[in-house]
Amino acid sequence: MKKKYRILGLSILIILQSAISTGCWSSKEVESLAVVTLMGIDYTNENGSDMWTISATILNPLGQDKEGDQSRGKGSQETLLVGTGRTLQETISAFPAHSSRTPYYGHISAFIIGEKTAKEKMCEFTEANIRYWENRPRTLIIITKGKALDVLQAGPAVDKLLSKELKELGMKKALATGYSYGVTLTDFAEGLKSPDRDPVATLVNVVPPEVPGLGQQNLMEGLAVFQGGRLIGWLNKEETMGYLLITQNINNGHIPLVVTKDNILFSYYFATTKSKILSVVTGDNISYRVQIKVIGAIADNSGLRLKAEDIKALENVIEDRLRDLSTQAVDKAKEYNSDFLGFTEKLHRTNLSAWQTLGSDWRKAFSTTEVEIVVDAKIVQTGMMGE
Amino acid sequence: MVSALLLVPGLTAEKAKQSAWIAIGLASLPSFLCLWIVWKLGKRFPKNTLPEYTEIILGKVLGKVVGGAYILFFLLVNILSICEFSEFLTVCFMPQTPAIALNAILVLIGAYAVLKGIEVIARAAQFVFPLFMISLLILFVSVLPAVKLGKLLPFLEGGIKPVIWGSIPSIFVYGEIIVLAILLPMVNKPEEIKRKGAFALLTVAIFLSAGMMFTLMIFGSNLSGDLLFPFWYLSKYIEFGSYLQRVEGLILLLWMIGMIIKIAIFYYLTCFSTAKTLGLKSYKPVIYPMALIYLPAATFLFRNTAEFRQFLELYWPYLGSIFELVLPLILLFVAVIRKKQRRVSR
Repeated sequence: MKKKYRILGLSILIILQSAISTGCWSSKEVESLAVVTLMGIDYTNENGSDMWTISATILNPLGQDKEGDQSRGKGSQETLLVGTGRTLQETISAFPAHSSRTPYYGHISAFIIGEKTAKEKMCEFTEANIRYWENRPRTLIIITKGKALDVLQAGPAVDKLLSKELKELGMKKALATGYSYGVTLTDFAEGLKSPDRDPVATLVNVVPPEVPGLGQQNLMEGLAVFQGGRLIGWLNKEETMGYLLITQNINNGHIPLVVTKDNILFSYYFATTKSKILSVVTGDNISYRVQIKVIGAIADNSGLRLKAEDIKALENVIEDRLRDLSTQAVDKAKEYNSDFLGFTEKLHRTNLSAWQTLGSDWRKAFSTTEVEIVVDAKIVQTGMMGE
Repeated sequence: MVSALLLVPGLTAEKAKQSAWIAIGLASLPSFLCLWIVWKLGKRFPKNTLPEYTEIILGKVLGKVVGGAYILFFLLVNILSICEFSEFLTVCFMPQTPAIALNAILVLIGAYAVLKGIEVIARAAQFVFPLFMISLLILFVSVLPAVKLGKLLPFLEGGIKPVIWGSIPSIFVYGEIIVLAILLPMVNKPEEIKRKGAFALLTVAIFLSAGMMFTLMIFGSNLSGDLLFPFWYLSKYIEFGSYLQRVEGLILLLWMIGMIIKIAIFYYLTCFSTAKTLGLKSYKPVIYPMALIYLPAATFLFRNTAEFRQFLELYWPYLGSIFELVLPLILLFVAVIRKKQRRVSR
C-alpha cells in the first residue's frame, strides 16, 4: 500500500517536471512564431502628437514561400510588416496585427533607427529594449539618415537576408575594412549611462545605385555621434577611420590607405592597429596623448621600386596621413562637443582628482583640451617581387 | 552561492561601482567568524544540533524561543530562495507562467528530497557541484575576449566607504554557512569541518568575486548596477559567430539544479529544527504541512521584483546578520561563561 502511494507520488512529480521542461504557460510552438530579424523604428511629431512607425522583417517560414516560385533569383526571404501607433509600446503590438503568428524578438540582429528617433527618443528606446527579456545583448544599433523604413525596403544587396547581411557587416567586415563599426545594444547602453563618455552608433544609408540596373542599396559607412542621448551628427568615412584608429585595436584588418609620395600613388593596407590614450596632467592643465601603432603592407602594384631607405620615407608619409585622419576625428569630437573617443573616460580612470575638478562641464572642458597624436606606422611587406 | 550569483551582483554594483568585486570578496570576512563560532559550539556539543544546545545553554524556555526564532529564520531564507527562483524565471524566461506553478514544483521536489533524508541531498550536491563549477569556468573563459581591464578603474573611487556599504547585501550569502550548526553532528568527519568550511567559503568568495569582476569588465559599472541580473546578461552576451551562442540555457539548467539543492537543504533544516524544538521523534510529519506554508508565502509575500529587491537590500542584511553572527556569538559567550559543554542530550 505504502509503495503504491510512493509510486503515485513519484509519477505526479515527474509529470510536473515535464511540465516545467516544456515551458508550461510560456511554451511557444515554432509554427506559431513570427521570427523578427530586423526592426526599424521611426518617430515623428506631427502637430504636437507623437507618431511611431515600426517596420519589422519577419523570417518567411520554410516551405511556405508566399509566391511559391523558386525562379525569383534575388528574392528576399523576409517579409516586411509595418505598423503605426502613438507610443512605442502600442506600435510594437500594432505591426504584427496582420499576422496570425506571435512575434518573437530573440533573433533580431539589428535595430534600424530613423534620424528623428535618434535625435529625440534614443534613451527611451534603449531602456525599453534592454528591459525586454527576449532581446539579446549583442543586437546592433544602426542609425540611418532619413527613415528606417527605407533601409528595410531597400533590402539586401547580395545575401538572401538583409538581417544576416547587416549582422555580418557590423560584426566583422565593417571594422576590418575601416568603413564603420558594429555598435551593440550593450555598448550603446553603456555609453548612454556613462558619466564620462558619449556613445556612437553604426550608420547605414540607402545609396543610389552606382551600377545601372540594380535598385537602391544599403551601405554601412560612417558613424552616428551622440551627445547625452541625442543624435548630434555624423562621421564621414575618413573621420570614422580616425575613430577606429584611436579607439579600437584592429586585428586581421584590410584597410586601404592611399598616400602620395613624389607624385606616385601608393596603396598601403594596414592590418593591425594598436592605440593607447594617455592623459597628461600638469598643474591645472589637462592634455591627452594618443599613441597609435600600425602595421601593414604596401600593395603589390606594378612598377614598385622600394629600397630600405625609401620605405622609411614612405612610412613617414603614411604616418602623416594617419595622423591627419585621427586629427579629423578629434576635431569633429570637439566640434560636436561630444567625447565619443573616450578621452575623458581615460582621465577618469587614471587621474581621478583631475577628473573631479571638471565636474559636469567635462564635455566643454574636452573641447578646449589639447590632443597630441603620435603615429608609428610600419611597412612589413611589399609584395612578392624584389626590385 | 548559487542564489547569490544572480541578484547580488546588481545590488552590489549599484553601490560600490567598479570596486564591487572587492565588496563581494570583502563580504565573506564575517562568515569566517561565523564558521569559527559554529565550529567552537560544535566542539562543545559534538552530539547536539543547534536547537538542542540552545536549550542546554539558555535553559528550556529561552532555548525554545531561540530555537523557534531559528525555525522562522530558515523558513524565511527558504521562502526568499523560492521567491528568487520564480522571480528570475518569470522575469527572464517564462513571463506568462504564474509564479505559483513554479513554486509548487520547486516545493514538491524539495519535499521529496527532504523525505529521502540529508544524505540524498548531499549526494546530489556532490554530483552537481563540479558541473556547476565547470560551467562557470567555461563561461568565464568564453567571455574573456570581450574583457576590458580598464573598466575596473578608477580603483576605489570615493574611498573604501561605498565598498563597505556595497558589501552589506552579500554578507548574508556567505553567512548561510550557519547551516553547519545543524549539519555538523551529521558529518562523518567533524574535525575536518573547520578547514573544509573555510576552503568552501574561500572558493565561493573567489567565484562570486570573479563573476562580478567579469561582469564589470564587460558591461562597466554603470550598466551592471542597472541590470537586475547582470550575471544572466553576461551569459547571454557570449557569442562566437554563429556556432557558439545562446549558452545561457546551460547555465540556467545548472542554476536551477543548484537552487533546488539549496532549497532542499533549507527545507530539511526547517523541518529538522521544528521537530527538535517541538520534541517530535521524527521530522517527517512536518514536511507536508511545511509545504503549505512555503507555497503561499513564496508566492504572495512579495508583490513584485522591486519589493523583493528592496527587502534584500534594506532589511535582509540586518536580519541575516542577527541570526548568522550575533545570536551564535551570544550562544558561544553564554556557553563559555556557564561552562556548559559535552553534555549528551537527554
